[in-house]
Amino acid sequence: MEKDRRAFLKIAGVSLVGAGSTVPLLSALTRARASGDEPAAHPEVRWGMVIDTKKCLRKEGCTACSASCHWAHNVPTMPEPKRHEVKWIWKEQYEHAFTEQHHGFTNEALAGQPVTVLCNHCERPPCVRVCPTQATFKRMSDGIVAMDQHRCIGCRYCMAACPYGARSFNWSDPRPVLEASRSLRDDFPARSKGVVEKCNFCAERLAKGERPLCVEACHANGGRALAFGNLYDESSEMAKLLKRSHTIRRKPSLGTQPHVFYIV
Amino acid sequence: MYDANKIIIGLAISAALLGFPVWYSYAVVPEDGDKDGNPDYQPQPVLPDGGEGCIESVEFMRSQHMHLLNEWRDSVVRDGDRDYVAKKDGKTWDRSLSRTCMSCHTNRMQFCNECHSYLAVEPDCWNCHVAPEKALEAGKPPQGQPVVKDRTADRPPQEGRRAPRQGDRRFAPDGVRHLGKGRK
Repeated sequence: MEKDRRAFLKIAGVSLVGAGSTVPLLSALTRARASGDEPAAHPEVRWGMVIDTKKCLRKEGCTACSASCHWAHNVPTMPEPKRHEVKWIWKEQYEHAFTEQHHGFTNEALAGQPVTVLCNHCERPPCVRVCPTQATFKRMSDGIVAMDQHRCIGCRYCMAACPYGARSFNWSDPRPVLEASRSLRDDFPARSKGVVEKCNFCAERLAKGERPLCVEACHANGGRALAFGNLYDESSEMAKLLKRSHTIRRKPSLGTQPHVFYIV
Repeated sequence: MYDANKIIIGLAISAALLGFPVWYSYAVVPEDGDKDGNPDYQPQPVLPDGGEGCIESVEFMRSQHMHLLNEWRDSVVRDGDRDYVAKKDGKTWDRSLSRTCMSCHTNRMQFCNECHSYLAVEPDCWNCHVAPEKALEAGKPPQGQPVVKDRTADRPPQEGRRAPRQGDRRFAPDGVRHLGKGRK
């Protein structure tokens, strides 16, 4: 097929314009798709906590946070703690809490010391992914990983999924234990046999505009090791602490993005 | 008939044994009504005296209380929405079984169970939720409990920003609807 100069120039011109316009067209397309899918840059409220282990360790043997939490939320002190323990906030040995930090040459101040741990209210909670009934779910409004005990069927997938051991199973009815210790409260429900439970970041107190009880108890006891606030609020105690200090999180390599930070 | 006596006695005994469910129910348990044989028996739930009446009309509460409680449960647990606006008079109530309902209907045996036992329905509310009289027995926290001073009265708990509430733009309830979409 013969082509004259005129036809060749026409085809070349059209091809050039076509090739040139693909790049902006493609990018516009991908932008349109992305904007339909992605949420806003970040949510307005994400509750988080900073735990200062140095301040915590200064109060040796203090259990103000866990004692007040467990008392307020009808968490029983089970008679066989090795097998049936139920806990929302507790102390874990440093090496067990920070398995990725442990290297055999940990400084003396931390080695073997108890660290306060609780549910991390992860940004990407594995427990929520595995729950077959959506009994555990992440509140989109504030990031709290909450539990709906009415839906829990006690399958314990969430316990297997949680890398922090933050969940407890009720192997027996906690009510008799609570009644025996005379610590049953009627302003917060207890649990029944066969459900999983965990820290709720005091959602019932946050609804009233109060801080979580563990934080209140720690401050009231003079420990001041726990700080609570909105991660995205620049003026909060939390955000200031995070800016000022070097903080670490538990098992960061798992990608769960915990909202509980530690100053060690 | 040979051995008529023995056969007749045997038949009578057999008939009595086989007919046990029939004659026993007539002989011992009254056909209708309560255990005292009163056929007109109606459950008598003990109502609180005086007061402004229940949050909704009596007819509504009688027929719909179970649905109301289920709605309350879902909106508090899943959406964090704790305020209920009454259809009757527009008053706002805390969506809480133990704090709202049981603050007037203090005795669950005389109120809830009165009808529930008569109708043989067994809701499992009280497997977890604590009825007031139980808590009264348990009383105060055990000895050695740390004193938690409530300092929320004199200063805001979250510096700079109050806790999100229903009605806030961003406090759009979450939960079930978002979860259905799968992870991003």
